[in-house]
Amino acid sequence: MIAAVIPAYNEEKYLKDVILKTRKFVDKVIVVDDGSKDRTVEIAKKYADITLHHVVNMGKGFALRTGFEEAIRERASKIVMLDADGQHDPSDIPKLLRALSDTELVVGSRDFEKMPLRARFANIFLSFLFRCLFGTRINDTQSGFRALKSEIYKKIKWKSNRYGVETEMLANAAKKKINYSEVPIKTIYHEIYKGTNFTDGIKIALLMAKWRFFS
Amino acid sequence: MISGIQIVLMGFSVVMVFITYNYYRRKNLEKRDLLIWVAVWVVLFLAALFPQSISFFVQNLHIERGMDFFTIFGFVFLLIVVFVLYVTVFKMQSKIEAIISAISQKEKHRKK
Repeated sequence: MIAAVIPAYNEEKYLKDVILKTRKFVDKVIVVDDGSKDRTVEIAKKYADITLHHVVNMGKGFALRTGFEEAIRERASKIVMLDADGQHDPSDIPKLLRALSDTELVVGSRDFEKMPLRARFANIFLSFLFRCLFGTRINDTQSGFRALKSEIYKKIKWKSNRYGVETEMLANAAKKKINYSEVPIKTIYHEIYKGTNFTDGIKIALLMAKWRFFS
Repeated sequence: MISGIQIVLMGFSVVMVFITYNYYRRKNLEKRDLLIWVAVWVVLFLAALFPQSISFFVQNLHIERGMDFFTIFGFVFLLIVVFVLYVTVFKMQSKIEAIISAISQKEKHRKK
């Protein structure tokens, strides 16, 4: 069984579309509403197979943990994670799942050329730093569009609730010598960019050093 | 003769006793916490009023001046407070996470 985990915080604008498109490629869509103040939870209850609701905002990392643990309870063998803001195109899911047959974790790699300039620098810098610290080349450490085999969840389980959940997942995978690969994905940037900016980049860089030397 | 820094420290202690009591009155502190913090401010007040009372520590710890003793003691005290707060926040965060997870499971919605 393949499950998709979608963490959502104030995503009433795009959530319905993301759920309906994702359902075509997976068996179950699990939405974790992370304390949204808009109609996100109502939309999720109407369209997603399972909706979990956090009464207060706990951050993307915590919402992903809630979603992954639910997917494992539902006996999913493969789990896909993607953002609720419509940035990822669910039609790329089959590509990620195909790549997952040869590896344990697949990262959807975004095209940096199309990325807003302020985010491009942070992403390139973090990927470079990741290679220096963990000795593994990965072009897009910040991509939130991934697929993985559920048996590796315990090995790569992250502690971050907010910043750097994507990076911590990869750092744990690198330390546990889990095979991972990258596939190029389409990315749709809306007028408001919610991804990694310069300040987040600095925080994640410091966290990366912590995960490398103190975890 | 009382120096300027002594007056500042004594004034600070009195203000802190007042603030601590106000927190207790608003039920933001328990009686035990009130007693501990008031004791801290009273000790600070007395040490500022009678600086010679700490000369025993100053001499035995080979510290040059009473002011240096205050600085070192204050720094160590702050480190202890930061450590206790860190542990408390960590424990509290774990409890909040457990509560949020339990509520999300209880209110889980399955599409029919």
